[in-house]
This record gives sequence, C-alpha cells and structure tokens, in this order.
Amino acid sequence: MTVPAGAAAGAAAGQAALLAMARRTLGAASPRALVSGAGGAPMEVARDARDEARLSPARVIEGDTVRAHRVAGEPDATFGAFLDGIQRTERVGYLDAAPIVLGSVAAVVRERHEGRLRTWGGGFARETRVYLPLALLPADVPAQFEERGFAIADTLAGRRDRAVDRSAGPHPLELERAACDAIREHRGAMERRLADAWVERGPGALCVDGPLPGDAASRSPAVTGVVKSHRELQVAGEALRVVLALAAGERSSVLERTSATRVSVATWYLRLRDPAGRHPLWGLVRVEAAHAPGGDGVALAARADAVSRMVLAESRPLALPDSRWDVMVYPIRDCEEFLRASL
Amino acid sequence: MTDSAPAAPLGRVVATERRPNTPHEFHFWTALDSPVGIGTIVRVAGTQAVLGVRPVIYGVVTDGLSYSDLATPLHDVLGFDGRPAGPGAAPTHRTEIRLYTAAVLRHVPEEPLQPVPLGEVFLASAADVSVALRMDGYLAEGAQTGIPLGVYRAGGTDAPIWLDADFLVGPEAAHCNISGVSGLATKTSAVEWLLASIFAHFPASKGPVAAVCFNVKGPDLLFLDQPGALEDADRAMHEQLGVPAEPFAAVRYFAPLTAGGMSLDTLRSHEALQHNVSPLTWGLREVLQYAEVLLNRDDVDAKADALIDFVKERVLDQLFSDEVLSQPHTVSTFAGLEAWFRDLLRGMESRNQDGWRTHHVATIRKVRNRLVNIATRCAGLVTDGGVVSDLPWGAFDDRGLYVVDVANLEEDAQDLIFARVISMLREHLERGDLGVRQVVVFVDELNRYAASDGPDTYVRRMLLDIAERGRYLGLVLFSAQQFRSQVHRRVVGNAGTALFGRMDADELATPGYAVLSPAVRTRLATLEKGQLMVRHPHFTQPIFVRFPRPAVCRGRDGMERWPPAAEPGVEVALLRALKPLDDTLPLAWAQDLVALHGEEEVLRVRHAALRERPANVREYFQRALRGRAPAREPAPAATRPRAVRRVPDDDPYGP
Repeated sequence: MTVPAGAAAGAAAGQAALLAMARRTLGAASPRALVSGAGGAPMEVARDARDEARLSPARVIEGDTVRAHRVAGEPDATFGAFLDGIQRTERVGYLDAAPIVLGSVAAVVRERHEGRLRTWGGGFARETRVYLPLALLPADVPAQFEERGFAIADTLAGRRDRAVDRSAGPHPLELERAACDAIREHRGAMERRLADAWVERGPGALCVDGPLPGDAASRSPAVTGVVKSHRELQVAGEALRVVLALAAGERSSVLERTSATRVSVATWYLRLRDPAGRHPLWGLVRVEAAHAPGGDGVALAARADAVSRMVLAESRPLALPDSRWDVMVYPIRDCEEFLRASL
Repeated sequence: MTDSAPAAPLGRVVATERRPNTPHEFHFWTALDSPVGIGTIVRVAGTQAVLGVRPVIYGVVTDGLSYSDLATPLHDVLGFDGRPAGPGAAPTHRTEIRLYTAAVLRHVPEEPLQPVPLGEVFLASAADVSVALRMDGYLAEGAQTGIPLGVYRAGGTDAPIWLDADFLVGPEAAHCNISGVSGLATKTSAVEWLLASIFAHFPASKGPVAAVCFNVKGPDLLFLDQPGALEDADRAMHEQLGVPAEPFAAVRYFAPLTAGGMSLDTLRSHEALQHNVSPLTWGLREVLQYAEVLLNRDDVDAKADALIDFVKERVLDQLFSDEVLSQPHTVSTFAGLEAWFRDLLRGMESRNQDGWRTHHVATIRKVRNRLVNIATRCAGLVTDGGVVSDLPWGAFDDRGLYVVDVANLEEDAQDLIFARVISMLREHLERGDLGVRQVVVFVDELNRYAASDGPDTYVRRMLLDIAERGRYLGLVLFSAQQFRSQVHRRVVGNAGTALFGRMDADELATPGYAVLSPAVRTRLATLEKGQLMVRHPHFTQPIFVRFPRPAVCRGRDGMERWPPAAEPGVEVALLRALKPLDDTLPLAWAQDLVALHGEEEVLRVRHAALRERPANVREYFQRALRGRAPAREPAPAATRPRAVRRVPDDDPYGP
C-alpha cells in the first residue's frame, strides 16, 4: 500500500489502522493463521542485536598515516537541507512457519529557510508493504492482501539462491530477518531516490544521516553523509588510537572508503564535542563526502576542513532530548521527528 | 459588514487521549506567525459528514501554549554552555509549537452535539462571526433588533458586534453591568457610547426610549450635549456601526440648589450652558413619600412609623384642626410642618399631656426632630418653602437623555434622589404615562449603592427590584462599578449583558472570574482603553470588542472650555431663577429688592413665586413684600470657587 507523499499528519493513527487491517486479513486468509497481538520486542531491535562490531581499516589518502587535524576556521552553516529515513516493522502474524510482516518506510528532505526547517518540495516519500515469503504460502494468501489494497513484497526476493523446501523451509527467525533486511533495503532505495532528486535539482548542500546513499550522491560535492554509528570502524591499531584521541573540533586524516557495490568516497572522523569523562566514541562522527581521485593533498585537506566546518556548525542547537545528541545534528533530529509523525 | 474570509487554513485541530476535544472545547495548532491570539474567533471545517452534513464549529480562543522539543530547560542551558549571551546564533531554530485551546461558540448543525472533529481551522470572517455569536438570528430581515456594541478585530477580520435589543433593553432579558478599574476601564465612555448606539438603532417597533443618568462624580456626564474631539479611527468606527458621530441631541440636566440656595449645585454652571439645566427641588410631600430612605430603621420604630403615616395621611396638604392646637394648620412645607409640631407640643405641654391620639410625647418629639432635620440634611434639594422642580414626569421625550447631577450632594440626599426618581419612573412606566415605553437608568459606583456586604438600604432594595423585575416594565438598569465581586449578586446576576474593561488583578482572583481561563484573565488585566470583554445571552463565550470614543465632550474638556461659574450673589441668582418666568427683569430691580428687604425675605418670595408661577413677577414681588420691614445692612455675598476633581491630562477616554 503506497501512501501519497505529503499526507504525513495523523499518519500514526493510520499506521495502527493498517496493521489492524493486515491482521484481520491474515486471520481471514486461513484458519491456521496465528495473528500477532500487541506487544513484543520491536523487530528492528531484535535484528540489530545480532550485528557485530568490526574493524574495516580504510586507505589513508591524506598523507601517509592517520593524524589529528585541527579544523581551521569558524563553523560554517551552509547546509541547505537534510535527509533522513526511517522504517517501521510490525509482525502481522504467522501462517504455519512463515512470518508475515508489515513494513513501512519513509524518507524526507527538510530544507532550511531562515533557520526553520520545512519539507522540500517533493522531498517526502512514504510506503507500506506486506512482506511475505511467497514460496511458503498458498497463492490465495497474498491475493487476499492485494485485494485489501496492500502492496506486497516477497521476503525471499533476492534470495533465490537458497532452495526453499516447502516441507522444511528456513528458520522462522531467519525469515523475519530477511523481512527486516528487505524493509531496510526498501528504505535505502527511498533515501537514494530523494538524494538523487536533490543532486539533480536541489539548491545548495545536502546533509544526509548516515553513509552517502547511492552513486549520484557519492559523486556529488553537494552531498555530505554524517555517520553516527561506529559499529564498523574504518581505522585500526595506531590509527584507531589517534581517532579515539581526537579533541573537540579536530578531524582525522581523510580515508578512502571503498566497496565492491558502491562508489568510493572520502571519509574521516570528526569530533563534535569534548569527550572528557565520557566514552571515547562520544561526540565522534564519521563524515563521508565525494572523493575525486587524482586531486592533490592540499585540496583534499581543504575540502575536508570545509565540510567539517559545515558539520561542526550543526552542533547547535543540541539535538536533545534524543539520546544520541552528542553525534546527531539537530536538523536530522527534526527529520526523524517529522518521519515518526508520518508513520 | 465585510466578508473577506481567507481561503487558507491557519491551523489544524488536534486531539490526543491526554488532551481530547469535547463538544465545548477543542485544541488546534498554528504556524508560528499566525495572527491568532486570546479572543480570536475561529471556524473549524469538519471533514466527516454527520447525517449527511459536514459540521462547522465556531470557537473563541481562550488559552494558548507554546513549547519546543526540549524535554527540560536544562537542555537549553547545556546548549548555550550556561551563558545566555553566547555562543552565537544556532543555524537552526528549535522546533516549537503554538497550541491553542478554543471554547466552542456554536455547532452548525446544532444536533447531534458531538465532540469537535479534526479538521482545518480558519480565521473567522465577518460572516462567520455573525453566525458564531448567533447574531444572524436578530440581524435577519424581520428581526432587526441589533444594537451595535463595537467591533471585533483579529487577523484582518473587522466585524461589527451587535447586541440584541430584546436582551439588552428587554423584555427577554435586560440590564447591562460594566466593571473595571477606575480611569483605565473607560466605563463611562462605554455607557455613553452604548446609549448613543441604542438611541441610533433601537427599533421603532419597540416604542420610544429615554435614559436617565445619575452623575455621581465630578463632571463625568455634564457635557453630553457638546461635541467632543474624535480621531479619524473613532469616526470610521461610528460610521461602520451606523451611529452618528454627534453628541446627544436632547439632553436635560437637573441639579439641586446649593445649601445657600443661590445657584444650582453642579459643575455645569457656566452661563452659556444654562439653557437646559433645571433645578431639582422637592417639597415636603415629595420627601415624605420616601422618608424611610433617610430615616434610620433602628431609630424609627413602629410607633414613629405610625406617626409619620398619620402626618402623611391626615395632616399633609389639608386643613387640620385639633383641640390641642391653637389654630388650624394646612401643612405643605417643612416650615409648616415645623409650625404644626411646635403648636402640637406646646398644646400638650399646656394641658400637661403625655400623649396625643395614642402617640407618646417622646415619639412626637423624635419624629419632629427626624423629619424637620431632613430639610437641613438635604439642603438645596429639599426646599423649606415647598418649591417643586422635578423631572418632566409624563413628558419624557423619545431619545431624551436626562442627567441628574448628584455629585456634590451628601449621601442622604443622593439616596433620596435615587429612590424617588427611580420610584417615579417605575410608577409612570407601570401606568404607561411616562412618555416613553423604556427608560435606561445609569447608575455608577454600584459598589456603594448595592454593596454585597453593605446594609440592607432602601436604595439597594430598589436596585434589586429593578434588576429582577424592571425588564417587564421597561425599566432598564445600566450600572457600573470597579469591583463586581463587591456588588450584590442578584444585581449583577440579573444583568443580561456584562461588560468588562481593564480589571484589577485582585478582583480577577475572586471566585466570580474562575470560569475564565488564566489567559483571558490576563488579557482582561491588560486591556487597552476602548476595549471591552462582553458577555451577552446570545454569546456562549465572552468576546473582546473595541468601541469608539463617544462623540461627546469629556468632562475634563468641558470643564476647561466652560469653567464653572463662581456662586453668584443673591441678585444674580434671583434673576436666573426668575428668568423662565420673566426674562426682562433687570439686575437693578433685583439689587433694589435685596437692599430694601434683605436676602432671606427676597429668597422666601422667590420660592413662592417659583411655586405659584405668577404672570407678572414684578407685581407679585411688590405685593408679597409690601409692608415688610426694610432689611438691615446686607452682608456681602460670599463667593467660593468650586472644587474640580483632577483627572490625568493624557486620558482620551477620561471623564
């Protein structure tokens, strides 16, 4: 079920209604259906708990080793817009061992105008789908959801390499994880669409919550990613020690983050706030920006400083009461609040 | 009436489980730059049809909230490192909300009465205001009983606010009470404006209407027939509301004489303004009717009361003879009453009697003392010689304004005037022979005359009677006071319309204002001059309005333009008094009379002449003074300046 963009207000109540309708649909589809009730751990939390922290050292492209650099100049508040997305995953229930999941994703670009944030024209999208492992269900079950107006998605799409044995089948929790992955991919795709739209016609610089989404954003000098999570660190050993010792207003040397599935980007760590007396990762973000191979080191450093000044300028107002306020810029919190209200 | 409803909504209704909407109250948010404020009237467009009709709800904003996404103020302290001045402006303003609470004015349709639905909120247009306040009912063709009170202004909407004459003047409801602090609430101006509005718009079908105003302090109401300075905005509002920006056309002033009897005891004593000023003087008959106003009930017991009744019924204005008396008496003046008592007591003494016709001599002496003392206590109003000059009972003019100036009188005399004037109004209205069918009586300082915790006086009982039954007679009470909480509940409670100007914070803290939200109370405490909050039977919630400065001369301006004349000598006073009878009398004639016969004798004959109204005044005086002994050297006439209460010079609504 695709909800028109712009119909954000009052959507929370709508989401509850959709979930209730999905559960009624499942209950009507088969007498064997086990319809979920309210409560239970959120599916995203359950999934995230299985992630593991890891070190993935990246190549240093500013100098030879990772060093601390004081960001020169005053903070420079020139970001014109901010992009973030969220997802919500709800168990509709089970039919035999097959989990049916309601996934909603939304993303928004919030433009800053005279200090106030407002949704950029065309910069909001929201979609809800029912995720089912189609190969494990009778054909009439997805049909009934479609009849009720739900958009459906195959939990196992993209996992065709796995043989699905209807008699045995995957572990139900594995299927739930697959649904969460699919929903996250759906959200990523939505963020990419909005970032691409901004790259194409957006005025000014865009700050994205998280890694740069998609190739266009990764190549655009107008887009900057700010990563709050450090489950995967791009440094190790002595470089990690340098990064953890960064003082407020300092950045690390620039690294090159490469991946087989995405365009290489420049990245560096930036300390937004003084971590004295706190966790070494407190107030530390990783910045991603487009990397132009072949550039000289001076330009690279100047570019990193310029982008760092833009990020540092967003350290106020504090993103409180969000628990991640040490690393979250306030406009991204605004995006999250907007999106929570929309789902 | 203009209708320029903005097409775009200015807010949206919100409801949560903790802050739900009800049939009588709802909440909505607006943009930060919205023109909504306390008192703004809004319209909610329901989205869900009920019984085939999409509901429309009108409300008035009664409270507002503003908050940001901060969980605690401490977070803001952290954000600024504890320094309010630093470290410079943040690039993004915090998200904040303007959340308003509105009290429902009207549901359309009225049934079924449901909680206010979610929907868009619009600023009310002039047409919306008319519907919201149910004014459409009495402004419709065929009804036309609207009396403009002022203008509602908010966010570009400029809508006249009309009261319903049926509920302001009667008979459905009646009376108007206005409260507010002295000098800032513009109570007097509001009443002057409302009277002008009534005179301009009172429906002809309801018959003629007049007003009687008691001027109780300074020169407040003494120049209502003179034009006042108006600003363009005031003139525009007059025009918008259809009230001519002109002073009252037919005003008559009444004031008692001074104690010396030389002139009228009023600050409107400038010679240029005497054409419509008349003396207010009563004789024995008029006063005895209301003797209980002046007599202490604890002092005048049943025995004394019986004797007073005897005097009223058997002695007054008739030939009375008794064996105890040395001669028959016809008592029609205080002087005659004093002579009668003197003769009676002398006769009883000579016969060594303790009682006369069941009345004990002590009672007779006490009643004599109390009654004769009235002429002293109310000197100037009560004439010893019995000259009566009164309001034109039976000949009241339509749209006539009658001002009785009691500002300089003692409390007893004021009470007597209130009691008699209002009783006379009531009697004539009951008989239908007053000349008009409705009379608005304006009484200021109600704190004093109908105090909630004061003694049960005749005046208070009379005001209660008007408040409770006056509307059936067409006797309408417009009253004003500083502290509504200190006025008898039945007087203010029976006022169908209540107006509030700037209020004192202590007064607003009394229980009577608990029905108002803190925000409305705050606005009441900060109202500008020319602004009022109005409660009217058709309005389910109080509404804030502006009214223009009335087109009459303020008391202070009038005093500067027409300063009060010094109290004249007896010769000038004599000529002034006799001018209605003969305006050709020269000053030299009066001077000769006073020189020959003395002030006391001449004034005695003046009283008699005013009572008897002879065709030839000179001849009357000549006959009356013939054979009288020439006077001794007359004392020089004393002149004394009149005290004028000071008022602030920069007060455009000042009295």
